[in-house]
Order: sequence, then structure tokens, then C-alpha cells
Amino acid sequence: MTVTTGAQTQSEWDATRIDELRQAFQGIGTAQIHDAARDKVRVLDLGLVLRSPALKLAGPAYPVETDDDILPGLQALEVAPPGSVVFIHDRAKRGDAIAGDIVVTTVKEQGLGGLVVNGSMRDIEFIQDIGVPVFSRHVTPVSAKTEVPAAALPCSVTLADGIELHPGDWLFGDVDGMVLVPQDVVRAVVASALMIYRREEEVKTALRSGERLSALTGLQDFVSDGTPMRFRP
Amino acid sequence: MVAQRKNEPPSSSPCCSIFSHIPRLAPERQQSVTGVSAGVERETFYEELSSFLVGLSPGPTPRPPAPTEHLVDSGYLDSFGLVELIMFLEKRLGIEIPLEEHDPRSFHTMRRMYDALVAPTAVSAAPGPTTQHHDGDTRNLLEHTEKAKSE
Repeated sequence: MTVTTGAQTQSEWDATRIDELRQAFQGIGTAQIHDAARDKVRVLDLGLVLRSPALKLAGPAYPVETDDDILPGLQALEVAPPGSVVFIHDRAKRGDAIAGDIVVTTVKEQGLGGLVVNGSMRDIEFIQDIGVPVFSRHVTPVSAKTEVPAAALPCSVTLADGIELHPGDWLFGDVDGMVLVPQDVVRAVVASALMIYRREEEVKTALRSGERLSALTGLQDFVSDGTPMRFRP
Repeated sequence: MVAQRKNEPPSSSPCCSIFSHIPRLAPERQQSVTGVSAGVERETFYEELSSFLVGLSPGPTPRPPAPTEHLVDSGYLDSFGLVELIMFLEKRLGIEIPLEEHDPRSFHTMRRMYDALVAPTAVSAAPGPTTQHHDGDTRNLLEHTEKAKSE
């Protein structure tokens, strides 16, 4: 359902919000996102590998669970809102491929924010050039079955270390890894991450101009009397 | 830095949207604030913000910071407190702080925060480039902004 709100629709609001945060993330990385709020940002240490080099993933999660079956992922693709990141969680420890070139092409053509397969996928050669950010845990040429539909769409899933991924939580991924940010704080976290990034850039500029890192950080004071280190360009 | 109005989602928003809890940008988000945060007096802002910053401190309760005191140098604020600070400011002032115009220096003192986030709304509501601050410090906003960036 699309709700009209004056000159702009509800879906256009969502798109504006997602695009703003996604664009902001392109200039920074998961490192700055994590530095911004270590108590709010969760690192998804799931063994996920970025299958699309040089691309960054950012968007609200649309999670779905499967038991080594392709069907739940296909159902999620059909209803996931534009800009969202479809997150397919395979309960199988090391299952067959539950996504490949057709699924990733669908992700791209439907304007989704990316795909995370917490399980196996295939067609990596095709995927790495299509221009869609994709993560997966494993790779196998063997296709999974298409038999059992999703129990719920979307659904909250429990990941490793007991981390809960809820629909709408934001996922940020790059070559450093993937982090989860609760949706109610995501904008403040990205804003803080941008400031941290700019400060880091100023430090790099100072280093390139001949400043010493020890002077910029107060290293000697920290070693001698415990005065907190700070990046101070 | 120009503060912008933060609006609530329309009452007819579908409750099942996965985005329903994300603070939204309104269609008129490009417009400057003229009436939301403009009513916050400087001294009131300092009082409320200093109470918030004192509450952020994990250790013994510190004294309230002075308006021009460097909050990072004085230990009231570090990078991990930025998120809390931004959320406090956005909620208190009813604004969204633009992502792409963030200057970390604007958050170094309470006075700079007021000048960057609240004073521009007063300027937009009144004619002329000059604003009379509550503490009697009259300055041209553009000059102040340039000075803050160069500091």
C-alpha cells in the first residue's frame, strides 16, 4: 500500500531516507560506524565474505529464514521494499546454494539495497561484476531445493553470539566486515561516523604535511601519565 | 550548518512498515527551521545541555561545563558520546542535523552548538545578517562560521 502525504508518498519518504544514509556511507566505512557507537553497533562476525569487490552495502534489513531451501529467499525478493537489504539466514550449518545469478539480478532490477546470504551461494564470477553489493558465508556450485516456503516474511532471526536481527535494522558492509545498527539510532550513528571520518582525514592531512603522529595524539603524555590520547589536528 | 525541521511520519503510515520506527524526513525537509528551535533561549540551552553532558560522565559527577569550555579537552565528550549528544540535540531542538554539513568543531563547545544549531533559525526568522545573542555577544553569523572552521 502506498500512502500519499502531500506531494510525496510514503514510499518516496522511505527512499529519501535510505538514499541519504546510503550515500553518506559511501564516503566512510564500517570502521567509522563501529567507532561512532561501540555500545550500539554489533559486529556480525559470521564469516561473511564480500562477493562484489569495491562495493559497499547499506540499507534496512529484510530478513528471512530458510532451511537450506531457495523458496523463502524468492518470496522475500517479491515483497522486500526498494532499498532494503534482503538477508537470507540458512539454518543449515553448511547447505547448498540458496542464491545465485538469477537472485542477484532480481535484487538489482528491483532496486534493492543488496543481498546477504548467511549460507551458501554460487555464480560468483557473474555476481562480482553486476554492481550489486553481495555477501555470503560459503560458495558451492550445488543448488538447493525449492520446496518449503517461508514461515514468516519478514522475520527476526537469531544469529551467532545471540545477536538478533530485526526487520528494519540497518546493515552496513564493506571489505572490513559487516555491522548492525538498530534503526532508532542509525541516523545519529552515521552522523557521528561522518564526523569521526572527517577528523581522521584531518589527521592524515597533518601527517602528510610533516606532523608526527605522537604529537597529534598526545602519545608521550599518555605513556608518561595516562592523559587520554586524542586525535587533535 | 543549517538546522532542518524534523517531522513525524504521517498518522496514516502503515504500522507494519519495516521503516516505521525510523525518524523520517518530511517532504519539506529542504526548508530551514523557522519556528521549532528558534524559541530556545541561549541560557536555557546551556543549562539543559550542561545537565545532559554531566550525566554522560561515567565517573564522579563533574561540575557543569562553561559555555566556551572545550568539551573534548575537558573530558565531557569523546567520540563515543557523539551519538548520544546528537540524539539529545535533535530531540530537544526538534531538528535533524544535516549529515553532509557536519563540522566536528561545531560540537566542541556549548556556545558553538548554539550558534550552529539554534542561532541560524533566529537569523532566518529575523531580517538582516546579524543576530543579537542572549549574552550580548553580537556577531555576524557568517564571520562566526568562518572563524569556527579556521579554529
